[in-house]
Amino acid sequence: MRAPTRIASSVARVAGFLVALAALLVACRYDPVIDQKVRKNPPEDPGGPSPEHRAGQACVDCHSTYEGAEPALAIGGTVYSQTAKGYLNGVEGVFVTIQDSAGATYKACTNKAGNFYITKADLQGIDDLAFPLVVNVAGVKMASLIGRERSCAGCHKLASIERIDIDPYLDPATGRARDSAGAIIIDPEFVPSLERCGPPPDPTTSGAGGQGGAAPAGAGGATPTGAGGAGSVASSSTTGAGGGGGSTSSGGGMGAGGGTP
Amino acid sequence: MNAQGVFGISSFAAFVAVAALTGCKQELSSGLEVTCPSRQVYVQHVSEVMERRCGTLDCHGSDFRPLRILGRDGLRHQGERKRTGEGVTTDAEKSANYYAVCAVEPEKVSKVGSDPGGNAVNTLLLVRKGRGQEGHKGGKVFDPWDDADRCVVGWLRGDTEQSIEKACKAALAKLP
Ligand code: HEC
Ligand code: HEC
Repeated sequence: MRAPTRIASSVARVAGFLVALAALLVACRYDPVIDQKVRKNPPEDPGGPSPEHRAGQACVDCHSTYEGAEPALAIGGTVYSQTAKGYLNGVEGVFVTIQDSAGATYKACTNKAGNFYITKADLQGIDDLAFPLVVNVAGVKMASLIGRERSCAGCHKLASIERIDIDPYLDPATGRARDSAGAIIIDPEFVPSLERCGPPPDPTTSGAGGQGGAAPAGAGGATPTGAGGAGSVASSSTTGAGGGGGSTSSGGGMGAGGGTP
Repeated sequence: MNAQGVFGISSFAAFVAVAALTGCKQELSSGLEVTCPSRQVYVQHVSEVMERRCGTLDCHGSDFRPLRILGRDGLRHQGERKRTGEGVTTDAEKSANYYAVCAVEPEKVSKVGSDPGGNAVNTLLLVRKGRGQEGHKGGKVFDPWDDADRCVVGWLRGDTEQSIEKACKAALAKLP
């Protein structure tokens, strides 16, 4: 009777120690600010995670080393248009251009939801984006610089009941307020052709598979069927424009600028 | 013996208590006076540089930062009905920025003003953080004696308005 008890109690003690150790480890990595932000997000889209999911939310709160969602993103966001009645719709097929302080330029193409992103892997060996960043969407330059935020939604916060309670002057359609630039809104009628990028190449016509189609030189995927580049296209050339028509691998990959592959 | 020990302790305690009280009393009665460099120069030339480079919504344009910088493309003044990106940076916002910057280290800033040629300016937290010489989430924002640095430091030292204006304008022109 005595021996089993002693074994049980030492097992319990070891288990207790392990629990305490685990708690300590978790505690060390615990960041209440991010945790709270992530928990406040609306629930996952019915279709589950995809490149089009969670439009308007702060992508990199989750797609970060801390929260660990894959792929790890360097930057991400959602571009909208606004209807006459004020409703927001994701804008598909426009370039988002990010210029970093080291002189690198990255381009990404918005998908069906208006989402775009540049993965850490897209940075091609460069450790990280050099902040501050300059942003341009479909040719419209953002006046503000980005100091350190990787999610557009970190500054472009949408409207929410909670936020309207705090700031009665908040624009209920766009979310623009005392502390938010509101949704990123462009007019899809006035997107220059060089700033357009196409949906994924149609496999029946291009046969290029995940490699993306060859783009007409400098067209940047101007035609809806011709060029590759849905999901995310990034180009790390310092020249920026003209690096269009990059390749994508299954709607989220990376295409080097200037005609490769 | 015993009595003396007790006496010793209590006299020490009394000494500490008196010292502490006089310490407080002195500080309160000495009429702490704080001066900050020109408000007009800050509002007219320096504020915009700090709004653009320090006051973005993800940095000092946030209620959650100890040093808050307000402005058109950042956090707006609580008492005004303006949204980010609307209109221009208001006088109230520029003025609030002035007081925020002066309040980081008020006594030290006063000393810089009274010794413009001295080294004191290089020891200010505001300057050291901007130069990335002190822990700063935003990293290095100014290089010592580049235009933006001369804009802010020149104002702190009380340089001529003309030279401050020139440095601030050059700093703005260099921003991407
Ligand atoms: C609340 C957390 C959260 C937010 C916010 C979020 N994601 Fe995700 N995302 C996930 C999770 C979880 C997955 C599934 C993969 C995993 O578990 O690592 C995922 C998957 C993805 C994938 C891979 C999908 C696939 O089919 O392989 C992409 C691309 C993606 N997200 C892009 C985005 C973009 C762009 C945004 C912002 C508009 C965003 N995510 C916002 C958590 C999030
Ligand atoms: C540091 C905060 C911040 C971040 C992060 C941020 N923005 Fe902005 N953005 C602003 C502010 C403030 C404005 C309004 C004033 C202006 O044009 O800069 C704005 C405006 C814009 C505009 C101009 C809209 C118009 O109506 O003229 C575009 C386009 C834009 N942002 C795109 C983006 C994209 C894309 C991202 C993510 C890569 C992003 N922004 C991230 C602060 C931010």
